[in-house]
Amino acid sequence: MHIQVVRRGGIAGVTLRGETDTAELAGAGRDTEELLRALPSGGPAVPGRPDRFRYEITVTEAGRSQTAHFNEGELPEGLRPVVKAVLDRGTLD
Amino acid sequence: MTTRHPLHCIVPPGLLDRLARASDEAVRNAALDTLALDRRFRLTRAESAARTGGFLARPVTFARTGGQPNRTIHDQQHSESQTPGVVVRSEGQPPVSDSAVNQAYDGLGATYDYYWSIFQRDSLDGQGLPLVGCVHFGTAYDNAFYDGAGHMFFGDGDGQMLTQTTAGIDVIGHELTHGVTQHEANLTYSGQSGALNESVSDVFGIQVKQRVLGLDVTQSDWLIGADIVGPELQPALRSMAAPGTANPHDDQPADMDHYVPGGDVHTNSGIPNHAFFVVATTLGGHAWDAAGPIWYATVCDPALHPGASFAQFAKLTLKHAQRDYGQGSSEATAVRAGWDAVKVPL
Repeated sequence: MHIQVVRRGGIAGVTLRGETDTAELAGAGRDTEELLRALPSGGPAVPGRPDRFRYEITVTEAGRSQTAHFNEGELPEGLRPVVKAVLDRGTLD
Repeated sequence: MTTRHPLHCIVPPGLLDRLARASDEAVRNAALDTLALDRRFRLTRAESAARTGGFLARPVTFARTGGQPNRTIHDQQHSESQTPGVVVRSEGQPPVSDSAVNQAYDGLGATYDYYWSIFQRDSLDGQGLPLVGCVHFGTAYDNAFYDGAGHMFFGDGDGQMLTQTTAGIDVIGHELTHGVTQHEANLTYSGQSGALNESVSDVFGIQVKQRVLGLDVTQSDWLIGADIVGPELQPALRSMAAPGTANPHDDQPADMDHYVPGGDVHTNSGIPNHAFFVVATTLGGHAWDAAGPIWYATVCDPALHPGASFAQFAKLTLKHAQRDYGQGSSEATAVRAGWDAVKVPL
């Protein structure tokens, strides 16, 4: 399973982008993959709060991609370590 | 007097709906007008309630004279909880050993003092709202934000993108100004209104910094976040003098020819940011002599609606420049020059 995370916003207003295969993520087992498969597609209906982050998570498996959008604070608790791990190896646009 | 007051109208809306379908054209038009007005009032009422958290008026619990902030600094101890942590410094207490605590305390004070001294505004809500600063939010957290309820959270940065965010007086002024905007125009945080919301925060954030350092418009570098950037974002987050040039990742446009459709609110804010820079530097002196007050009057103008476009905002700045300084004043001319420079039509 391939995962791409894009973080936008924050006071810096820069875009941080990272991607990896879940197999390469330490501690990301079957539970994490289940969480990623269950992500709702589409985005939050409301604009985010000023200077908070916005996340875009794209999961690709067996040639099919699905993208979910979250405002900071709405990110599912179980996914936070994964998002952080992917962004830690990310680069700025 | 024939003035109607549809706010609490005695004519039931059902009757108006029937009249709106009447065959007589005059009756039909009058009913349609009244219905439209009524909807506008309902919208305004709902919008106004949203700004103040559902309360139309705050009960007066004690008489405030204003002029003194009420600050409390909390240590989040690297938690991402948005409940304020341990109290580490309260109003009137001496500095402590943690520089983040003292910077937050001083920055909140400088912002309060700016709004009080220049506009006699008593804190973010104009009613003495206590200012709560929460330092050491999260681990290596590359951000600072205002939560909409009097609390400002500061990350320590990861040392690469951002460093200790409390070090930026302009950053603190920027965040607290989100609170002022929320209580006034409540600009919707997306599209052009979102970019205006961001720009207003930069416009007043830079003035708070200029005022603390005693800088006039020629002495200021007009950089936002210069004191909180790490090596990746050197030398600053944004440049009001030259949007798009603040760091290698800066994608801000400087005029409408380069507006980014669907762009982040921090991207297109470069356009109104640069307009303010041109107005302030055309006038000379301190940014808060005239340019700041014109922008402040615009943000507080009930005619500025939450979904305002750049052009609607620009027209209101001209209205206030003309009303407060005169039709042919140098202030009005400078405002025209500012919006002309960024190609926003007046």
